[in-house]
Amino acid sequence: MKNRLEEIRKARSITQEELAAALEVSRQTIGSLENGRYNPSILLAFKIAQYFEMAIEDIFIYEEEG
Amino acid sequence: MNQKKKKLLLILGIIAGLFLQFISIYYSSTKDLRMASGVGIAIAALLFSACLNKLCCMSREKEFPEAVRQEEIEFHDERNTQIRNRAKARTSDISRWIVIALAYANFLVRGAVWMTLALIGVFILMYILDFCYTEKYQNEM
Repeated sequence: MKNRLEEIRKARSITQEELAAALEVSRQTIGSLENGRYNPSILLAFKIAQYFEMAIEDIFIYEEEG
Repeated sequence: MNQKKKKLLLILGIIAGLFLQFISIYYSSTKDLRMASGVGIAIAALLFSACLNKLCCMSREKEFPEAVRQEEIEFHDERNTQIRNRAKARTSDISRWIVIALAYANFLVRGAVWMTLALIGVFILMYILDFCYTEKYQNEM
């Protein structure tokens, strides 16, 4: 699954630390999400979408494997 | 319970732990009380260290509330939780095979039979627990 988290975060001039604090997750989690190394739970995905006031599918892009 | 009462209780726990430790050590040389004194030493050490640890945590919480909150966030962070759970699962898998390897090695060196049987018992118990938890979580989810 791809995501536009880094792009959206930078467009709003928010640091990883600020986003992590707002979502109550570690900064490393934000970094891993942005690098695509980690896929969030549906709860965290909703939290992120709610924080940016966007739809989940506008941030996370589902791609079929293979 | 407010913080002051909690602190007082922990200090009392530390004192009780120390007191029990001294009493247990004092009676450890008495032949009839050796077993009881051993148990006393263990309980005292546990009580003392648990209360002291909790007291230290409380004072740290008071002194560095931000750092403690950050640690809590890091602990409950879903990625960190997943990492911990994965590590635990892998460790459990590896230790299961270490147990059976030890049982086999013990059999090869003609060690005590009870040791081989105990290790096989642990291996089987691990499988049973694995099965029980799988069933439990299947019903829960």
